[in-house]
Amino acid sequence: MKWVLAIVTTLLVIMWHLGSGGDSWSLWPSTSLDTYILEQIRIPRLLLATANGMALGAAGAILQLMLRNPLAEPGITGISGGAAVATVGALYLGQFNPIGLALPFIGMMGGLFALLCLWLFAGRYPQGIRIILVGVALSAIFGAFIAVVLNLAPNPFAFQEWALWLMGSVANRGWPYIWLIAPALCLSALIVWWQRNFIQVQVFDEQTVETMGFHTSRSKFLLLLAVALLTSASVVSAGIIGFIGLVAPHLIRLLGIRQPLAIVAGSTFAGAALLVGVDALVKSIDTRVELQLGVVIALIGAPWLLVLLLKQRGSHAGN
Amino acid sequence: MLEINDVSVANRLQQLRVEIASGQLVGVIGPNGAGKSTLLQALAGVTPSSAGWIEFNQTNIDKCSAHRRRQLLSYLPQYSKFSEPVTTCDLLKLSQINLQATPQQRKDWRTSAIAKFQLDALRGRPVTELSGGEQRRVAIACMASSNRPLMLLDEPVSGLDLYHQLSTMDWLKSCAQQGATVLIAIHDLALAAQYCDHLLLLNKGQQLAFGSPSEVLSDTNLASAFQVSVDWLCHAKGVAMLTRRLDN
Repeated sequence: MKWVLAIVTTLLVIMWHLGSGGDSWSLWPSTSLDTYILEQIRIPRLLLATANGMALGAAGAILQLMLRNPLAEPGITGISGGAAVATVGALYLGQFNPIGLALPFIGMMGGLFALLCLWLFAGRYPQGIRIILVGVALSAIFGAFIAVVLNLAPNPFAFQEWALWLMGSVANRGWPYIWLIAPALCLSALIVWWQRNFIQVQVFDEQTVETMGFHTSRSKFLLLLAVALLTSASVVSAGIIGFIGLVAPHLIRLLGIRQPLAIVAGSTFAGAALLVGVDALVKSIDTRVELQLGVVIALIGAPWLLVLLLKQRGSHAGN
Repeated sequence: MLEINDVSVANRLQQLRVEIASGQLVGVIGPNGAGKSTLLQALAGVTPSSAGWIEFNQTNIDKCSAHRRRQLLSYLPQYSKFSEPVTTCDLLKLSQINLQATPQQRKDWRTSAIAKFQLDALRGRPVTELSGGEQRRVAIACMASSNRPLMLLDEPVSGLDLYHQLSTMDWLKSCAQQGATVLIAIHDLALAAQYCDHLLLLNKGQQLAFGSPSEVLSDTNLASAFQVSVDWLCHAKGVAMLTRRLDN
């Protein structure tokens, strides 16, 4: 029953997303203008929201399992900060065309550079808690760099443009950004499938996993690489969108899914449904300037986090 | 045969040299910080040794691949914790990942572990919702489901009630009698004396004594390592001890 409800809700959310933000629409448009709007604006936006939700949901689930921390999300690794600072820095230097694909490429490199820093500072045998601490430090450093770049913005328009981009949105991106995030999703899916047994044994403590026949350092690096690809691709295609990676795995756990690999798979789809739903909400709210997706998600996600913490406190009190 | 050849681990264990024949239950004893857990971690490949080498049945287990090591040994850490609420039944299946065994063998080992550790009532319950002692039993059952020839257990009976302490020790003894080499770190010297074939006494990272329980648990060794004197109460059905501090 829960599954039927989840699938029906997802389909309704997709229809809502396609239909919101305009006076009239149809799945089978009659005029060439309607066709253009559907094919070049509505569908790419829906797909980009779906792909971003999938990327963030999967990245969040992998991190929560691997770091054994239910509050882990892609932002705490410093990877989204790395991708963002590289993109904003490139814009500041003015060397790249904001519409071209060189800029997202620079952003991806920034995310991968952050992964490299994370790995080097976390040590030869990285434990979950050390990865979190190094990630928090890197996030703070990259956050400071972004603030410096925004502070040095050449004019108020550039400042507003960059700040809005950082808040996250999937509006007016078009098909090229979908082709950008799709390979990252495919490559990460391959890595997750390759490392599926390593993901499954994450229910055990780290010392036990060490003795279960895995090249643990390599497996951890590969999974962090998948997280880096997913997070960087999301940042360069839609800016920084928080909370999806945190909330999607918990939503899936609430549905009663407990096996680690199933949590990753479920979170991928829950992340997509959540992001598409919030983006449909963003399109539906009638404001002078369209609200940024990342802002609305933070407004919804932060109270959710508090609810989760309260629930966790309740369960501890119960024990 | 398990051969530990001049193994050192950073500042925690110094030049340990022991040979343990197959089919033995060996207790590793010593005061806090003596190096018991470090030794088991080094044998399991969790902590790299800084010198020496370890051979088990002619395989250098600190140099062989992780997959090969998986086929040879199983390890129970001092604090085992489960991070996702999978059921006990699913956890036992997950504990068999990467083992070279037929599906029927795996199923038999799981069924036998569930019976041995009385987990029937806990089969469908999420492991994170079990009590500390029940979780410990499940963790030991995961080891039993692996059925490896070298078994390393760090304080297996800590947190268990008296009945399950004895049933766990009985099971470990039977594993040894069937040919497995079993090493356990243990604080309960009475249980160690009652069950173990040999004891390895460590103190400050060094080997103080290795031999039969009666040899190792001498007044001199106990005074030197634990600063206690012990009066033994021996009975055909078991052993008890009366302990007092030497500085009292």
